Amino acid sequence: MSKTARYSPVGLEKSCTNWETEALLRLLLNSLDPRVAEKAEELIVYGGTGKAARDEVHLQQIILELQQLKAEETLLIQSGKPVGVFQTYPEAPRVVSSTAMLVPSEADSDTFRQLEEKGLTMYGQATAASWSYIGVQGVLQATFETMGEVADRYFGGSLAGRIVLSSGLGGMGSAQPLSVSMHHGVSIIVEIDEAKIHKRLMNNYCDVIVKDIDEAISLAKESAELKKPFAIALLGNAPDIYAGFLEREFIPDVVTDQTAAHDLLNGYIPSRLTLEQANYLRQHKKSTYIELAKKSILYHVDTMLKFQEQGAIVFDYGNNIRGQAAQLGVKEAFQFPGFVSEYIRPLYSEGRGPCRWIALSGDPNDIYKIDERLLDLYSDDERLQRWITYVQDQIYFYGLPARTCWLNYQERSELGILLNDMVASGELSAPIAITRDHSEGSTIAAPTRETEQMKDGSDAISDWPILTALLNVSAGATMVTLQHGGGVGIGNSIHTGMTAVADGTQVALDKLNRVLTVDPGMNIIRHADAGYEKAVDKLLQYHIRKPL
Amino acid sequence: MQSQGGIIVSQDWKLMNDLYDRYEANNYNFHLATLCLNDVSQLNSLDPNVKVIVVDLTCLTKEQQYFIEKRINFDKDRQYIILDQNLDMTKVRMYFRLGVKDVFCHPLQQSDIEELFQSMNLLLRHHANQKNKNKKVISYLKRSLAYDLLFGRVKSPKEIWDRSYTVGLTIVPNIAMVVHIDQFKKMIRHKNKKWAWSIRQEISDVIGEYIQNLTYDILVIPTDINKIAILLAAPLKNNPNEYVVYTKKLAEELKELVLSRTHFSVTIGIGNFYEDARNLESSYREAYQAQRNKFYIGDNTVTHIQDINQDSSNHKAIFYYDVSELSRHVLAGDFIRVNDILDSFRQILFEQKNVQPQMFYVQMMDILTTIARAAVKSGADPKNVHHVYRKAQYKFPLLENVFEVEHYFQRVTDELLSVVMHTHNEQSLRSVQKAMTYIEAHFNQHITLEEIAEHVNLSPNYFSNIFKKTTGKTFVEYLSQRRIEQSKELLLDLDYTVYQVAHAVGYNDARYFSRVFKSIVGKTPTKYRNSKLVRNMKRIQYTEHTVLSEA
Repeated sequence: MSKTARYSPVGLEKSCTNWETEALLRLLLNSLDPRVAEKAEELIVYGGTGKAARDEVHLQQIILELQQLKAEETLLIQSGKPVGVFQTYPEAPRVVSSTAMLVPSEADSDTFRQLEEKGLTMYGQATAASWSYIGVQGVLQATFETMGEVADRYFGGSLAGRIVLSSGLGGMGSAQPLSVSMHHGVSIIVEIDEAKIHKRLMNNYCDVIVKDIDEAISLAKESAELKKPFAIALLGNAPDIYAGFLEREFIPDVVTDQTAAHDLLNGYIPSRLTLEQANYLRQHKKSTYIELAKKSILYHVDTMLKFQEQGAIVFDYGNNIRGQAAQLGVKEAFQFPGFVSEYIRPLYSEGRGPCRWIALSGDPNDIYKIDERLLDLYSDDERLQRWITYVQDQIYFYGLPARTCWLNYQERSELGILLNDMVASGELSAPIAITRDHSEGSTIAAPTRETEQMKDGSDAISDWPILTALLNVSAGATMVTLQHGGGVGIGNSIHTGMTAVADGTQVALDKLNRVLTVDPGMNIIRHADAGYEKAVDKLLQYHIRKPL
Repeated sequence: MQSQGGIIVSQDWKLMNDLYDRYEANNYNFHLATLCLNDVSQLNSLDPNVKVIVVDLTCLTKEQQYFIEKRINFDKDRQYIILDQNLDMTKVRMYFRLGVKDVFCHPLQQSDIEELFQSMNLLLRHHANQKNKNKKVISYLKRSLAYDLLFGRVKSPKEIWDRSYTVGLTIVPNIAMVVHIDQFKKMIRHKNKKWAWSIRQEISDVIGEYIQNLTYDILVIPTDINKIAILLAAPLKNNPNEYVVYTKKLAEELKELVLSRTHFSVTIGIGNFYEDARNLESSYREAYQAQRNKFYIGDNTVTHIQDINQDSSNHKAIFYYDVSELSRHVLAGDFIRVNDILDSFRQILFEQKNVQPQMFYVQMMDILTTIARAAVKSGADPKNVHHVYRKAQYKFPLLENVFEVEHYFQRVTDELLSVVMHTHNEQSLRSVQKAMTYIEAHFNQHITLEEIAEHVNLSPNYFSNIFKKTTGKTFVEYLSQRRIEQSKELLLDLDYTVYQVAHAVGYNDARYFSRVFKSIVGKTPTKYRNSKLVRNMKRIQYTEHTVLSEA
């Protein structure tokens, strides 16, 4: 926690001229809340170096602009820097933002780093630059759904008695132990940073810290035999620990990895290095460090391939570790699949996606009231019922209370009306911001993750996120962002974020109606276009017009 | 609105004025306000004391009516009465289904107005009664929530929030404090339980009074006969240190207030801030540990867990000392040495920091056990030794700080040693008497300290010590004295030479005898003899002269 921590304001008193800009201000500050952000003092929200603003000066200027912004003005953000304010009209977005975009021929990590060092750009990860990061819960359901799919497909619907090995307990990775526990399984999550482990222990995401590989194996086996959910955080360096397991001929049922492998310099920690050594080399010998990281990635992926050979279910958890290995010449890197193409795409095809809403009041009651309404309204949606019930019992709200939930097209289109209605009637104590993760079929083009192995081979086509962004601007979203890099790194993805606000007014209702229809609608169109039958069915079911 | 009351909400000014006039004329026993409804969202910001709302739906648009219906449906804290026109059974049923308490047909007749106010009055009274009933239930629920949080019995964030919200907390508790009533066990000795509870209750009441002046929420529960836990829902701070400063200030104020109001002093321990209430258990454990720091710093103090060096790696659980040395000196009655050893122990023991009070207790008892065993072995009455030992066993756990422990340790070791000393004094006298008899019988022989010490079954050193303490002389002085006394008698007999006298009283060397004699008597043996002879001669001459004169 920094000396002067930033927290989002709560309650009904606004420092901006209207609730749309107040909502954006609160979301921005919430994503930099030290309880939410990974390194709030450096403006890093999550995912290695994913930032909400370029630096402190730019952040303060953004805050000032938001406070002054009128209901018919639009603020332009260029990679975390406020670069202009134009008069537009009330239905237009209040903020449009583009982050880390490079022309394709220059879109590589080295060029990006040079430009970043010159202060010309910043890395925005996904929800960091779009100010919609809400902590672990934001990615938890994707992990939860993935583990659920693994359980259904290979283990008869439950992970009870199964051991899952993974690594990384940062903002993204810490969803893993909880997700495995939610499916009654045993997890061993390798993490090199003891401070991160302790944070997760205090969050109740992990159950125990273990510093010895044999003790971790013994504990995992004991819990699996008893079929008791148990989350073990194992202190160590992931590639070395994976190799250690292989040496001991210990083959977990499921193996994956969520180290920050997308960023070889600031994210990944090479084999045999301690955290302190890594930090020293990162500062003083960057090129040596990157070379070590490359070698380590080869070794790391090789261990994962060996686990696969020996019968483990192995998949890439979206950190582009296979892509990095493939670039370094490992032909077999893609022998294990990515989680999206393997487990999540069927959900995208039905327009289902990671929707999230944030109570600007700061009152958890608002979120619980919405939960209750959704549980009542969609009593036949088992996925929703299971998720909300479970997450209510597991997740404590840090920062502004928020809920993420994978809603389908129809549910999303109805959500805006429902929330606006609840705000208008006073049932909720203040307006609600509605946003989503960038990880959806149409909102991101990421050939090694979300759009890997598309049916029609359109993996690298990035028209879809751009169309989605343009459409959301047209529909009246409060904030629309276009970004580059995300969780898979520079050169590997283009994606878009969207935020809308339910403030109880008629104007908001109209905007919400439009935005929350077109945004998930694009998901269906994108998958129907790629030839997914389920998506084609949904076009017909929801009367979405797709000329060709 | 200061106290609870009702409000009439309408767009019809005339209706509201008529109703208000009637209200004033009849002097009703509740507060009434009116609100001209321009925008339905005005209902979202009503005074919380408004508990009954009479809504006139007649002039509202369909959207506004829809909004009101929604509001009635979720607003469980207030009672609604509807005024509407063209009422039919379907409409009335719909209102009651929404939870409306009464329905009146617009326009209101005179009798309806009376009935409307009666209905409002009834609802407000019912609400007040319900509130009183709820107050007790809330207090039970608060206690139950506090215990569940402190002992980690609730693990669902939603359950924690729901229960906190139900008992009226706006923030979930995040810091625990432990208030320890100083010297409580001493205060309640020979008193009954009610007495003990009343003291704790008195202090709880002061804490309750203090809470009322705070702007945030607190739960207070007793967790032991002499301990009260406070669960604080502290507002967000910039950094962990601010929580420390903030809670310490609060605890200091509370401590002073308790002392000034009750004359009981309390010691307060404070745990860390944990936003996730599922970790409040850890905060409580820390507060408990912090409170035990009073052992070192004394009563009437405040300690935050951050003030304590929690590194226990250098702690020696066992106090190492030479048991046999202590035991040997006690057994030998060498109290000077025993006291030297105990002084050195005290220095080491009471310089220890961060040792749990329990460990101090174990260390003290260990030393006392050694002394007690040695005491019994040295012949002390076991009953007396056990009495002192048992008293210490009972007393140590009652001591609340290191100063008291040190003082009592000194006292109890003195007591134990005095038991031993008493035994030793009796024994010493017997031994010295025996030694003196032996000396009396053998002083004319060559005898040594070792020989006599063996005769009386004591160590030469110890014997030498007690001999001097009892007789005021060293063994050698005593023996020499006795020999010289005897020699003085023999010297008067002119049949003995000085050489023979020396041998007769145990000296092999006549010259040494002469030196000793001179050092004690002030003259050499010969001079002594001559002086006695001259005196005798003079006496004889004087006697003869007197006899002759008289004759």
